Amino acid sequence: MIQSYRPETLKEALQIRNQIDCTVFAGGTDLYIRKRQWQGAERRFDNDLLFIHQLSELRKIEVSDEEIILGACVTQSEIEGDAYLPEFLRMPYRLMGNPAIRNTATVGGNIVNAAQVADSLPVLFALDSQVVLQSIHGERKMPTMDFVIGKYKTGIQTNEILTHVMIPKKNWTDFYYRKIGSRKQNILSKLSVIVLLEKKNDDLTNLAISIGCVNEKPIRDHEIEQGFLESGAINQLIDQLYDKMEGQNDKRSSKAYREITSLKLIKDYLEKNS
Amino acid sequence: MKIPFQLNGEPVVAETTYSMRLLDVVRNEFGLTGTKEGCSEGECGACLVFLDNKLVNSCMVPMSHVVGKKVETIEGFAKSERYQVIEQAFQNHGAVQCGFCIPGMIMAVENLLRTQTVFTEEIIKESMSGNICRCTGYQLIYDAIKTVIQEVVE
Amino acid sequence: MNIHDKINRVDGISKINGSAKYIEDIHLDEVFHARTLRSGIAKGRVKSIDYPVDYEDIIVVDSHDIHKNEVLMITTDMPVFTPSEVTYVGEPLSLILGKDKHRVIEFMNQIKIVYEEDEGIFAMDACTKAEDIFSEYVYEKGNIHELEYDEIFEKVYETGYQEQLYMEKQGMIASYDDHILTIQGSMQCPYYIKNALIHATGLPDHRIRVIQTTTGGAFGGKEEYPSLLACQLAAAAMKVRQTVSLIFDRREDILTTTKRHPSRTTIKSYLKDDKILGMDILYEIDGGSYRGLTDVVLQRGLLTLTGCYKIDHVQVKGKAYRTNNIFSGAFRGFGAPQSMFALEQHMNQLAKKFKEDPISYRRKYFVQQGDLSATSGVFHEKILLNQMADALIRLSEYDDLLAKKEKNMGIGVSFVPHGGGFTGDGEAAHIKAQVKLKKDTLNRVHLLVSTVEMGQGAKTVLSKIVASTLEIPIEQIVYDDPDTFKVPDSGPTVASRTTMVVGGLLYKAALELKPLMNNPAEIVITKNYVHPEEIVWNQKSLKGNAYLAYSWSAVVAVVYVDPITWEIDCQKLYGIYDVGVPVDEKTLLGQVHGGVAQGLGYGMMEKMESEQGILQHNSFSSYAVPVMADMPKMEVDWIFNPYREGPYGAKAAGELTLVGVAPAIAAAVEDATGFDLCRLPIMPEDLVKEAEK
Repeated sequence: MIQSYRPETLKEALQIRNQIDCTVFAGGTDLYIRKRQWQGAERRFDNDLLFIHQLSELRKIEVSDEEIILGACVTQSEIEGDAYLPEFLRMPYRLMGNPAIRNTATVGGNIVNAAQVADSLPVLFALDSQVVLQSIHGERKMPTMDFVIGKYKTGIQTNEILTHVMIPKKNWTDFYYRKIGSRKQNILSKLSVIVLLEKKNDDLTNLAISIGCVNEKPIRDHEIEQGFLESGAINQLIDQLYDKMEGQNDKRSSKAYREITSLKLIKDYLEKNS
Repeated sequence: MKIPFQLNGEPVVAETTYSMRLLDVVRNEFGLTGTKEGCSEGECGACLVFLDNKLVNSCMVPMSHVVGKKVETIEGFAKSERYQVIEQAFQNHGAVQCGFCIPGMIMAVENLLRTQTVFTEEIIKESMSGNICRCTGYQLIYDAIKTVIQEVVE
Repeated sequence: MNIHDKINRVDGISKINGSAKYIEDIHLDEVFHARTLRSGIAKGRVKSIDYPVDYEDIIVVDSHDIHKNEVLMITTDMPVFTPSEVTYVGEPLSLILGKDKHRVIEFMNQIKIVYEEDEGIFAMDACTKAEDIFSEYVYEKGNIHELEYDEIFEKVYETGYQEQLYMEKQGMIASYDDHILTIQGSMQCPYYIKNALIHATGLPDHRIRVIQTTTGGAFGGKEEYPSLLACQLAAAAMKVRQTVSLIFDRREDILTTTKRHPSRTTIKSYLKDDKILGMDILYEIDGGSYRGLTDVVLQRGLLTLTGCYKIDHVQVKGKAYRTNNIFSGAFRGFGAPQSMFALEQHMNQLAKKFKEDPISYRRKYFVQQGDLSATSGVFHEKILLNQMADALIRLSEYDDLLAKKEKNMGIGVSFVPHGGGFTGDGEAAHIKAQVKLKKDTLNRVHLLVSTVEMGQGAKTVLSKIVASTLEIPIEQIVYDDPDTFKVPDSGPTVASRTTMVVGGLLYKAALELKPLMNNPAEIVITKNYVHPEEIVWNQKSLKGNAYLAYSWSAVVAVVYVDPITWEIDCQKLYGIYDVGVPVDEKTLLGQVHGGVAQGLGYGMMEKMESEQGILQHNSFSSYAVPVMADMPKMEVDWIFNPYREGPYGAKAAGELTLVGVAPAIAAAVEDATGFDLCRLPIMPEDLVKEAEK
């Protein structure tokens, strides 16, 4: 029999996490599916469980002039419904799953689970967000795009809990987000694309591009973006992004479809807007 | 272990575990079988209930999330006046066929009424996007929802 | 009441408030939960199964526990539990019973199975030996072999699996008390199950009782498959002499129950002076590893050809293959969605080739009353295809649609027939339906039929027919879920036969009961099926009237195809239906919309592929069916064309509504893109491939 822990404070949770090899359970909307088992029976967890959904320390959204801080257990619908958050952040969350799922699924869960289809990762990569990881020994930060290593793989240590995501504020003036699935709503993505632009007097001064679901983790490359800012050469940008693609055919879509379509979407948007 | 919560307005205690699904508990411990298991992965909406007034898929909610909270199932909601309006609209429009998805649909309609103030076609459809029906092609359900909105809101 | 009255569903309220009890809602205090042990390989033999010891609370039920290890469907080739020979992934080896589900899981996790694996067959093309072919049929009309033609127009059309995805999973409960075996569950055909149980258990007729419980959708998926589960559970209940429950999990249900047959149809049209002289058609389907209903599915696919068109010279061949894929079976449409997609897309492509409007082009070939069908049977009924085409043009404002068609938009049409009831002489030779009406002493009228309510509205429609005929309030009708101890065998709830055939018999029974309604005694009226004389069929040569009567649909679909992402948006769908006379318009409307949703899924969303016999799309998240936002704006209407034998003129409706949808969408996507599209479902991935060519 596995043990379940439901601490009341983050401090307590970190102590448990330090002592016991356990699976951290936030919203559970991915975990419950992966550990599915006969109806009416327990899920087939092989580790002890540490529930963190109830921790008030992890449920806050803070917005300041410098940054946005999202608690790990903030639900997707809380982001969707928070009028203080920018639309380019809210939209990807709003298009995930369905209303009931978004009431349960969390910001942190979607990151640590690190599914290839995780729709929050492209926007969090594009925004240069950082994850905050805490253990009883202290706190460390790292860029989300480095934290996520690959499909279902992250750099989390066995004694750590992802507690927050920090998003630095920048002066994005335009954005484009498109998610493609095999039906219009309530579907896992075949691919998603986010482009953020900063323009001053019609001059493009900054941009960020991220592509989800094509590779095991979203594509984001600062060098390619910098090159484009200097050259303005769209075709070169597209070619360079294409070189980063290393996906596979799977049951949801084909490698060719994902690559061709995501690049066409970016190209089409930039041609019209940069 | 014992997990206390409120079920359809009554304080109850479930003899279960933190990792058990709310769906299994309302169905098996409390015999409330109006909440159905369709897909068991949060896609179909047959298992929708309100948890502290938020619509959730009870197949994806562990009992740990339920401790001390209010759970409302179709059996509880069916006692309300607004339920009567929804029931009548679904009946009049012929929105029901096999019926397996319908209690969940009803909960989603109530959630739409509770959470939205404007009821465009887009908002209605997005609100109902987590409810799959394999029989009706949705049109008569949509028509029933429009009638409900007219009666309740306008 | 009157047949024209607008009524609400008789089973609506309990389904809305959640009080309706489906099989998994039935509370049982003492019950064994059963879980199926399944093969992990597609082909080979089980050398040994090592079950863990020291589990006194766990019971294994396998092929040793059944009187005759055969599931009677049409033939008996499928075992209840395979003793050794494995033919598909997921084939049942045994049932594991326990009162504590966690103990069952623990037990099953320790089972060790040793196989001797063989190379499986997973593609129709790999079926080269005689034993790889379940059945072959051929029929001809005219003489295809001596035509003087200018050219042959040949195309190959393919369709994939489709999953019924009824919302309620398969489930059954069995008990064996006082020497009576009782099976309750989600099903379409109580008497199919009963007959399978007589065969497998060796129990006499009067000791087997089958009761349908509220059924949460079926669409063919609960036609033959539940017979297998019932036989397994019978073995279990008779072994433990206690109640045993078997409720599938969703992924188990998707992975191991029947699917729509994948198909390939090759059509060669012989053309002269732009006219179709003849068609040579080969229709092939993948039946999986057991015969099941494959022969009959193959027949309906073949016999529905050549659709709405009179072609003078025809050769139609059909082949069903045995593979080691999941076993295919009944699904709304039953072979016709596949062959009608092929035929309709072929007609579209011919119209395109001759630069003609697809409706005008079809009109030249529309069959008429008195014509010979492809199986050389006379169409006795009035056929209103031209009037339907006119009505469709009006309803869709077709000319306006064409004139205002923008870039990346496409318009497609389809015209399909669907035969009501069993193929050929099936109703008379095999089904021999019987219905009873019982008026009790309280003047309530009981419908005693084995027809089940599975969502389609049988209870509402059949009750309405009887109440209207007797001119009594519908509240006076009692129509309980069928129990074979109480109702006669009025046949299975399949083949769009419920209103037309069972309803027709009930109508006749009600006419006979009507003058006796003032008699205070209990009265029972029995009616047996009588085959109309003019319907003549030769099953050996496949010649004659393949169906009792045909229903017809005419559909226009309007799509927009995103030029960047190739996503298909079906924006509008117009349909005109000839189902004789609708008995209840609200029910029919629900059937039409539901058929459109499943047809839309079949046409452009519901992709299900198998690799080495394992289905890759095995959940609600990977197998996408339409949600509300995916549905087009639907405008539908019907024309009245009363059928003499049908109650109040009604013909078949349920399946027809699905069949024509995917062909119309496929034609519309062709129109929008200019590509030749010969495979369903049409996915953006395929369109990208076409575009890159």
